[in-house]
Amino acid sequence: MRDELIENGAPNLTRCIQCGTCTASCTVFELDRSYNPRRLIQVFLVDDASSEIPKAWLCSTCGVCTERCPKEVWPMDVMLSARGLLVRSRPPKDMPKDRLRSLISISRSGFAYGKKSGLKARRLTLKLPEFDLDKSQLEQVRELLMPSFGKKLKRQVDEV
Amino acid sequence: MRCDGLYSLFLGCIVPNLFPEVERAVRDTLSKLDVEYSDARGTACCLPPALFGFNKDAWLKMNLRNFGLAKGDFLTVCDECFASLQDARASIEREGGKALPNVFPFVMALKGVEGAIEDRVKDPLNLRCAVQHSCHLLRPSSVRKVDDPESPRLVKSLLEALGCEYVAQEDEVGCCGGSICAGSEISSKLAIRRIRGAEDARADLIVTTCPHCLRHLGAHSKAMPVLHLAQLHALALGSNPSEIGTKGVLR
Amino acid sequence: MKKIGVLLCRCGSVIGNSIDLGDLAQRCGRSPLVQEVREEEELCQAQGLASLAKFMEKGFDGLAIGACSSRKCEQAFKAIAEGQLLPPSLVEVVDLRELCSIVHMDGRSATEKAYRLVNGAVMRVANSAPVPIATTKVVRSALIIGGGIAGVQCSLDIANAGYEVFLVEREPSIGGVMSQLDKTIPTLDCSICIEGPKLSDAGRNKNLRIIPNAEVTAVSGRVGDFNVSVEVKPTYVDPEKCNGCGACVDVCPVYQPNRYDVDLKPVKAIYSPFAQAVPLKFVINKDICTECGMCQKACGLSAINFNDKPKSLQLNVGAIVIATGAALFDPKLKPQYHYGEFENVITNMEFERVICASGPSGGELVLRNGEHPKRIAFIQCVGSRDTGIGMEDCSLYCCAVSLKQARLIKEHEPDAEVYVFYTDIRAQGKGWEDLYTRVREDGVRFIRCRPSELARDRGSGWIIIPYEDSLTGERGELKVDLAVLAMGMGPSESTDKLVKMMGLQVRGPGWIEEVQPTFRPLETYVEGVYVAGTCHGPRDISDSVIEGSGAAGIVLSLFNREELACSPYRAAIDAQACTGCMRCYDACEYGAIARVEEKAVVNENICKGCGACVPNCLQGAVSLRGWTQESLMRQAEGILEAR
Repeated sequence: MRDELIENGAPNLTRCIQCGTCTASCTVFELDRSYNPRRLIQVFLVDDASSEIPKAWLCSTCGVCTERCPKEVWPMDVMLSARGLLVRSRPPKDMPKDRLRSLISISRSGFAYGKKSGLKARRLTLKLPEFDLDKSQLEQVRELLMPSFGKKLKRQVDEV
Repeated sequence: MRCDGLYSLFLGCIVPNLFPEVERAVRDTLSKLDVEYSDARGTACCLPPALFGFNKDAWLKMNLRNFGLAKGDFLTVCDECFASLQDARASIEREGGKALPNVFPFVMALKGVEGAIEDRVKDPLNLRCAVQHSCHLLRPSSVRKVDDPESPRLVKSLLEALGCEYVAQEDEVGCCGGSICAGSEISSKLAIRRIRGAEDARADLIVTTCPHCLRHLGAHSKAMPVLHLAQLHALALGSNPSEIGTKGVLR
Repeated sequence: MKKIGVLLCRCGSVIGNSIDLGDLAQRCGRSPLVQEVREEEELCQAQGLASLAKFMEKGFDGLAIGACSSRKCEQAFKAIAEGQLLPPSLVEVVDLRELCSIVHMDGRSATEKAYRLVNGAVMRVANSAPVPIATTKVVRSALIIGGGIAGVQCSLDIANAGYEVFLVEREPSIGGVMSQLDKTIPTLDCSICIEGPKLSDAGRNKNLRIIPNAEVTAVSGRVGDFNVSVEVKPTYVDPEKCNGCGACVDVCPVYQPNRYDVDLKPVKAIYSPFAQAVPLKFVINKDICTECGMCQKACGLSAINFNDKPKSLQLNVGAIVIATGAALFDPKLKPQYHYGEFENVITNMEFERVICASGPSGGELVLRNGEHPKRIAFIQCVGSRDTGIGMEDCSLYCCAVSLKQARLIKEHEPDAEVYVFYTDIRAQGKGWEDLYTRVREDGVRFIRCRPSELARDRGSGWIIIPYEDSLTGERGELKVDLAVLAMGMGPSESTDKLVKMMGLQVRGPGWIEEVQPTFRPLETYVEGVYVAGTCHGPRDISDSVIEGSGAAGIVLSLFNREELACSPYRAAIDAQACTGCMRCYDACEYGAIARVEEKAVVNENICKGCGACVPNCLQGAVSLRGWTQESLMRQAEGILEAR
């Protein structure tokens, strides 16, 4: 668990001295005690059981913890690394529905968000240029994206 | 941090799909300030690790493709794109990749033409603006290098140049909750807190430089207008209010 | 033909483990240069050394010794060589232990390597000439830079031994940080009460000349014979005449912040820093003095002189001890704590002055608005254990000081609530744990968290500390009326200046680097220059005193020698061949080479004999005594071409 996290974008994980500055500054912890980045990092450091990893999805990515951490552990990156490990597995485990939808959207249009209603007309009125990806560009995007998220993603496309 | 030559405009996902008025405002602002740019056509989502987790392979590949379509240094209108592209660039260059174009957030492009703004804004806007500072623009400051993370000055000085009053907030650089997974109670609480704070301070509107904050705060606000900085600039520089989304929104 | 002797040490069994010494001895003996080969069990033991001495009696032209790392025993072997009148430069030690038998498991290769190394040594020694060792006089005077407790202790020890000591101090009085403290740890003695008598002794000692208001501006020379320039600031008060009566202070109309009181309570333009100052002589800060002349009129001894000028002193000393102390971390570098912005966020030094009876509030624990605080929080590790700002280390003193200050609060205000926000409580050594226990019995509460920021309640002005108690996982927001930041220790400005001036090595944020922090902790890389106290790292008072005495011991040992042998193994520049291109200067990491009248000149006192300058010289004008190109080439041949 620890080594994988280090490998996947959290190289300074073991510098943590559990001082608690991250949790003290955490946007989410202030409103929800169950998300405690300091505690989560300790779990990642000593516990191989991964039942807690999905908590990493609760991080708001505000970055104040990383800004203030005295040991340059970069706690936010630890959370992102944990998410990455989850997403790598096939199917992506515990990925929040809205993120999944965004990924699916990217594989369909290249963009994480769908068009708002009446967009085409509005853009014409505002004299804004075309921005859609053409067929070959979309192929490119899918080719880059799919290997990381696997065929199961396609199935989830249908489920959602 | 100035760009040499043309910017390559990276619109991201939210602005072109959900806020065409903001896109109009950005284009108007840039052209009225003689900031030369061309569109980076064919770019796709920058896959921010903040949203999707750190999936290095997909992230780097998507952005290597994006950088390949850049016709100059990137100019982003979304601060999450700025952070994602800046980090991807650093990561690619670190691993011995070739030199890539630089990435500049909208706010820095404006800073670069401060003089022009002063010259061309005739009538001050006289608006009381509460600012939702963008987390991904400021932090981590050792990497972003845009502004002071504890007391940011950039947006403040830009607003003051437009004749606006900067209204200080209780939790100045706090997060709006926009990047928290949807359906979270906390995400809503944070948005409401920011909006209430602006209301208590009797601000006329909330200004932001990131479409994620724009979308999130806008979704939670009933009366308090939430605008992108570009919309205020476009307004001050003479754009048509009905085209830049300010008509009927601001008094 | 040269006759070289070869001595091989078995080193107990370590060298013998993978190296076949018998075979090695045989092969070595085959060289025409080698007269005799001997094996020894343990050369470094008394028996071994006696054996070595006897071996040398055979009158070899040189000696090659295969033993352990030369850092360990080379000195001893060379000392014996000297005794037997074999020049030390003709004794070569090769490392068959750390560089050979320990790292190579395969016996054959290890022995082969060992043979080549020894053969190389034989060749080198056979192609070297004795290097004459010069001696220098030892001037039996010492210069101590910095009059804090370490500097004072050092000065007293040397002066009491009968030698002349110059103690240069930047401030008008000696005493340093210890004079600013209320109590010491762990015994809670009144700080100035125990320091005062020592300062007094220093003031009265006939061998000790205190030079206050002064700074060292230049140092040249070598160990045993340094020339030091000292600049004494003008004080506008003649110390010969001033008797410290203070009549001038009463009439002076101008105020200024007092450094001693951490700018909390002003003093007059004419002032003495504190009541127990040594020397007790007043000084004028001319920057704010209006020259109104009131002090002149009040002074019955005509001591005031507005025409005072800076004075230069030239000192000739044999040893220098640097005791310039440390500086506290600037809290403004952690803007999230809002020091300077929030009135009731103060440093632990400011707290110390407030709680001290001689301080700005007469020892009453009051806030700036005059009220007594009801709830106080200590924030530990501000500027320590913080990689992001380059202050990696623990500052060692602050946990104990916060415990002390917590205890003092309970003594002054028994009903006050006291909290300590910590990461680890590092109360180490004799008596400190007891303080930690006492303080908890007093009701002081400990919360394990390093707060991310301090906030302020707009209405009441309370300081709010949001935290997570990492031992319970609970979140809280503590409202206090006073927050005390426990500041980290960093190198002082005076230390920085001296380092640049004297070419000293530094480590980390700028601490003076010792030759070896564990077993040569008071010597710098410049011979004859020593350190004591916090100028080379965080320490507390008793350790600073110990180091003062320690440095004094080294100095006295130096003074006890009739004359000093100067290591000849330094770079030497042939002035004829030198073209003044200064490429050698570029190579020197120690700043030992200077340009003098178009030629490069080596300061042998700073030169470490590393030889980096030698290859840089295109004219071949630089050589390293004891390591001639010739001898090194032959050594290389001996290693590469051995059969």
